[in-house]
Order: sequence, then structure tokens, then C-alpha cells
Amino acid sequence: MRLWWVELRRLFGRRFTRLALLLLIGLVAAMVVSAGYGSRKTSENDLARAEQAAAQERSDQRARCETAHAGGAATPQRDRSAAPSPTVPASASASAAPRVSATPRTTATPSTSATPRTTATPSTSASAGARALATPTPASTATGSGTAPVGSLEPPLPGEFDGVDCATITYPTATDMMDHRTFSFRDEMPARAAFLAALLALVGYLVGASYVGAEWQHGTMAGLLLWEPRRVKVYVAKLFALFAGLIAVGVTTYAVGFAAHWAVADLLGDAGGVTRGLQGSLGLVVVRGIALALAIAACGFAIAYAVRLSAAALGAAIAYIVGAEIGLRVLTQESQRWLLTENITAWLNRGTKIYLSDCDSTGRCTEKILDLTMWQGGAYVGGLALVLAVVAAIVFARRDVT
Amino acid sequence: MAAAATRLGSRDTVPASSTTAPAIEIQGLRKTFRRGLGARHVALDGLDLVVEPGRVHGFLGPNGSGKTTTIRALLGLVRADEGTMRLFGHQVPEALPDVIRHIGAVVESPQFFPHFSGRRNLRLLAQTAGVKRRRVDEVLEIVGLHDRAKDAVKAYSLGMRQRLAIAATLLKEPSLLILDEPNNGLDPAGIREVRDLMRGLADGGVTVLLSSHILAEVQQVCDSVSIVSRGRHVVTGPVAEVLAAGASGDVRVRVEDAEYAATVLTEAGLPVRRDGELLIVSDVADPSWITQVLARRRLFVSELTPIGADLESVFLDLTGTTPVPGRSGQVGEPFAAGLGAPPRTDGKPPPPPRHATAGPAETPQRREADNDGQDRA
Ligand SMILES: Nc1ncnc2c1ncn2[C@@H]1O[C@H](COP(=O)(O)OP(=O)(O)OP(=O)(O)O)[C@@H](O)[C@H]1O
Ligand SMILES: [Mg+2]
Repeated sequence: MRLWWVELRRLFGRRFTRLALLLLIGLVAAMVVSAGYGSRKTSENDLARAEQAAAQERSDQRARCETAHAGGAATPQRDRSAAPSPTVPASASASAAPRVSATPRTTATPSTSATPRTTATPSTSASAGARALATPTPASTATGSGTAPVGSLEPPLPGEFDGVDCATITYPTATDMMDHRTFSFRDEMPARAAFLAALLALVGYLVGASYVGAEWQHGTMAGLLLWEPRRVKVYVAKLFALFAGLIAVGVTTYAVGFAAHWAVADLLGDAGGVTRGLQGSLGLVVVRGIALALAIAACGFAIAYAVRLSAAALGAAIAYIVGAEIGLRVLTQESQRWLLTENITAWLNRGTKIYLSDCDSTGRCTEKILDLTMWQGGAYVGGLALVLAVVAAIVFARRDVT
Repeated sequence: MAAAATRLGSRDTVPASSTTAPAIEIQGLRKTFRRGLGARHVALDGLDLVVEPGRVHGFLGPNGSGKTTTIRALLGLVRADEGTMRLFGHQVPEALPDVIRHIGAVVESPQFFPHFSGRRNLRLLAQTAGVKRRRVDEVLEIVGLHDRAKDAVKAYSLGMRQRLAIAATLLKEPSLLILDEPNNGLDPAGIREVRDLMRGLADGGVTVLLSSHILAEVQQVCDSVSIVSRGRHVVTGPVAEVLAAGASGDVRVRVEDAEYAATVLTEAGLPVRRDGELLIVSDVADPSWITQVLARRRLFVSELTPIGADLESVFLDLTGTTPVPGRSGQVGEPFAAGLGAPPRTDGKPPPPPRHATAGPAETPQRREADNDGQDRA
């Protein structure tokens, strides 16, 4: 009881810990800056312009769609004498971004394409506006006659509008046509919170390793054991001190991180839509993120403790990244299931999918999806930390301290 | 340091299981270190040691003879392979958690966190054992580090670190103080202060185990000594007795007419050597007999000094490490004085040169002066 408190004080008295905390503060600050950078609130003007642009784009698409259905694929081709061949799909991807994404969207039925969009108000109003604008546009009249104005549009690709009811094209929306970035707390914070967990884990690993490694390297462990000879107690006290420190730092970092991001969103972006549900899920990200940081920190702590060298933890990390994350991934796809990155991702993102392509000898490949659930990922990372921590404790309890 | 030492009586109770239990009791301690692949090294080979409470006990032995290893085993830092150890009657390492708060120890150049100040290092230790904060400043005062307590330990000199280490052992107000080469790096004042400190503590009932190579120091401060060699016990006893065991029985005589006196003494059957103005008479059981013999020839003795062996020569003799001119003795090599044993390679030491508990009865040169009273005049 007393011991872990002393250890906690020593932990925060260390220069390395303080440096690591400074690094953490710097990284969080960088995240906040990146959130605010180039972001601005959407004004009435912006919205009107975006809505108009979106409506224009939709009607263009409809015109192209109708051209395609009219079997006029050949007609526009003579107008685009400069372009070599329309069969190359690259020409589509080279054009404006909304159009590219429009391709898969338009094939979907209206109800499906609406699903991710329903929460966004602008799109609804935009499609309403689009309907109003639909009839009198020059483009639609031009389509009927099949004359010159069609030439200003890109010709439809073969099969692009197959099976699409041209009247149901409701994409893009005003949000897609915004000419500036708006940081949205609601949309971006969950991913940023998960990233923060990774930062905490990194700091925890380094601090955990250096904190006990330095004790061995300075030779102070023997001195401490003259005051508390129960080695398991010493070990547990140190681990608890590390955990307590990391929890305190983690909670503070998250609190400051959320507050700063919310402030940025409030000032320069969109701070709306922070519902109970979002708060709850962010809270869970915090819990999972701190739990992850503890597990990773325990790994660094255990390695440095058992080997009696801070650098051992660093070496182990590098060896793991080169050997497993790169080497194994290249050698066998199946092994991805056992990589830390995948399991950590699963834990933080409530599950992840691993795409495996299963190729036979003839070169034919079938894609296989491997589902890694949150609990599988968590159990894997937690189990690894537990095993390392227990092994290190046993090594410490048995080995001579000279 | 010395003045403050008197304030340092042992803590309320000596944690002895029985009042007569020795402070330290070690029997048959063995420890083999494994080095690398399969290589073994016997550091302790059945070592015995008994330290009675309330004394300053010297723990001597050549380099690598296993003193530090013994102390580490006693304090639970090293796991012994065999043997029993007791501190105040409590079996260790099992009972170590209970007795450790009565034991202060400096084990071979102790280390501190270099970036923390001396005071902070001590405070961290004090807190682990619930020692009062005030005590930290007290012990810093005792070892003379009070003014430098705010400095980072990495800025300390060797002797200052050593003083800090001694301060750390005093934090607990120990009943047993184990000092492994505490004089390492200390200046003359520091050495004397540590000596006075040890004496003061011992007078207050604290047991001190002192491992040191400064034999003059040991001879001055210790009540009793143990000498070990190659992981085995060689001799234990009060300093005077150990010295007597090694005493040569030589007597230095100063007399006006040395030439004549030498003849007289030779005639009396005593081996005599000239040493400048002086005579060295060997194998004398009772020096007063020399005065008698000479006085009968009207030769009057102006100085008569028995030449006592000093601890150094006893040590060198008993551990077989007396340097031989023209040959460098190797660490761990027995009988450097050329007693015939070849350097060992098998990892098992031969029996130590002498294995004895010293006492007056064993003084080898004691001989009955059978020609008492004879006079050739
Ligand atoms: N950690 C270790 N690994 C291997 N061998 C060791 C270890 N510690 C000590 N030894 C060996 O054990 C023997 C006894 O060493 P120890 O340190 O006890 O000697 P010592 O009597 O304290 O010597 P000194 O007077 O030089 O301090 C030596 O031969 C040493 O090499
Ligand atoms: Mg030693």
C-alpha cells in the first residue's frame, strides 16, 4: 500500500516520465490543431452555393443517365474529339471527386443510398431543391433533342447507368459540394479518440519500460529489496504505480482532448449532434483506450523488468514490428489474425474485418473475410500482457540480485 | 558523526527469538554461480559464521572469498543453494520480512537514483518503511551531508555517496548493521567518523558486521573477527586472540652493550638476532626471563617489547595470500606464499590452511622455559 504510493511519486519524479508527458501533450496539441486547421463554419451562403452546385451536378448526372438509356453512347463521342477513348475508366476517376463517388451510389436504390445520409439535413433539403430545379434546366431539354449542349457533359461509360432509374438520382448532396472543410465533433471524434488510445499506449510502453529498466541499470533494486524483501510485493507495487499513473494521465488526456476538440468544433466547425448516444460511445472508447494503454504498458514494463534493461523493451518492440507485423504478414495471410495491430484495431473499433484472398494454383482468387470481434481482440492483447507480466514476476522472484 | 552516534541506541526491542541468540548464525552456506553455458563457480563452500550480539565483528577475506555473497545471501538478494542462516534466531530468508526493519546494510558500493537529490533518495526509502521524515534530516546530519542534501546524487563524490549509503542504513535505527566496505572512498575524517559511529552504536547495543580490507581499521574498531578464504571459514575469535594465534613470540630488547648481551642470551639457549642497536629474541615464553638473565651479568634492559603480530600478517598467513617477491598472486589462487598448492582448476577448493578457533591455548610458540635459573656466571 505504502510502497506503490512511493513508487508512484518516483515515477512522476523521473525525467523520462516528464519528457514523455510533454511529448503526449505535444501530440494532443497537434491533433487539436489538425482538427481546426482549414476548418470553418458553414454559412447560409456556403450552403446555398453548395446546394446549387449539387443540384447542377445531379441534373447533369440525370442527363447523362438519360443519354445512356437513349442509347446515345456514340453521339457524344464525336463531340469529344480531343479525348482518346471513353472506355478507359480512368477518365471517370480523373474528374471531380463527387462524380466518382456518385458512380456506386447511383446504382443503389434510393432507400439504400439514403441510409447513411438521413442524419444530414442539408441533403434532404438539397434533393428537394433538386427536384424543383429538375424540369426547367437547359440540360434536360437538351437531352430531349439530343443536340449540342450534351457535348459539355462527359459521355456515359458503357454500362454506367445500367438498371438505374434516372429519376431516382439524388446524389451528390450539398455536403459533398462544400468548398471548405468543417470539423465535425460528432463525425470525427470517435476515430480521434481511438488514435489517442494508441498514443497513450505508446507512452505507457516507453514509460513502463524505462521506469523499471532504469532501476535495474542504476542498481537501486538491491537497495530497495533491503527495505522490502518480498519481491512479489515490490513487483506488484511497481506495476500498480505504473497503472495508477497511466490511468490518471489517460483520464486527464481524454478530458483535455475532448474539451479542446469540442472547443475547436464550437469555434471553427460543427459541434452539433453530440447526443447521449455519442457521449456514451465516446465514454466506452475512453475505457477501452485506457485499458489498451495499461495492457501495452504492462508489456513494456514486464520485458524491461525481466531482462533488467530498458532497451530490451525497445528491442522487443522493433523485433516484433519487423518480424511479425512485416514478416509474418508477408509470409502468411492467415497469421494476420494474431498480429497486435489487428487485435488492437478490433478492440478499439468494436471489431474489425480482415480481408484474405484465397488463391488456388490456377491463379483464381476468392476473397474471404475474417471477422475479429472486439472481445477477441481485447482478450488477445490482455492475455499477452498478463502472460508477460506473470513471467516477469516469476523471473524476478527467483533470480539473484547482484 | 561521533557526537550524534550516542543518540543512536538500538530500536526499542531486539527482535530476538531468544535473548541469547547470536545476531548472525550461518552454517554450511553454499552458493554456486552459473556463468554462461554450464560453467560453474563455487563462491561459498560450506561457510560458517557466528556473530554475537552487541559487538563490532570484522568479516575478513581476500578478494573473491565470498564476503559480499554471504551478505547478499543473508539479506535475501542471493538465493543460497544450501545451508541455514539465522538473524537473531529467526531463520532467513523465510523470516526476512519480519527482521529486515531492524537491519541496516551497505552492500558493496550501494546505488541511488542519480538524478534525485540525496535527501529525496532517502525520503523515498524512508517512506517505504514508514520512517518519519524528520529522521531523514537527522541521518543526513549524522553523516555530514546535510549541506549537500539538495544536490543530485550524480553530483556527489565517491565518499559522499558512501556517506549517503551509511545514512540510509541508519534510517531504520537498526539492531544489526551490516557494512560491506563502508570506508570505500572515505577520507581520513570520514573513516574516523565511521569508526566512532560504529563504536557508538555497538556501545548502544547494536551489532555491527564490518567487512573491510583496511585491517588496521578492523584491528582498532572490532571486538572480534572472522576470516574467510575461498568460501570457507578459517578462523573466528576476539581480535586479541586471533592476533595471539599469529604472534611470533619475538621480543625486541634494547640494551647498552648489545654485543655482550647477545652472547649472554645465546649462552642461555635463546635464538638471538641483531637488529641494528636492538636485539630480537625469538621463542620467548616469558619476557621477564630475559631481564633476569641479563641483570645477572649487570646488563640492564632499557626497552623490552614483545613483537605482536598485526592483523595484516595474521590475515596473510591464514589466508595464504602473502605476496611473494617476483610473482603476482592471482585472485582466488590459494597459498600465494608458495605453500605448494597448484592453482585450482576443478572448482573445488582444498581445505583452508588452518581451521581453528583461536585461543591462548593454541598459541604455537608457547614453550616452557626449562632452563630457568641457570647462570653461567
Ligand atoms: N553475480 C555473480 N555471478 C557470478 N559469479 C559471482 C557473482 N557474484 C560473485 N561471484 C563470484 O563469487 C565469488 C565471491 O565473490 P564476492 O563478491 O562474494 O567476494 P568478496 O569476498 O566480496 O570479494 P571482495 O573483497 O573483492 O569484495 C567471486 O569469485 C566472484 O567472482
Ligand atoms: Mg565484496
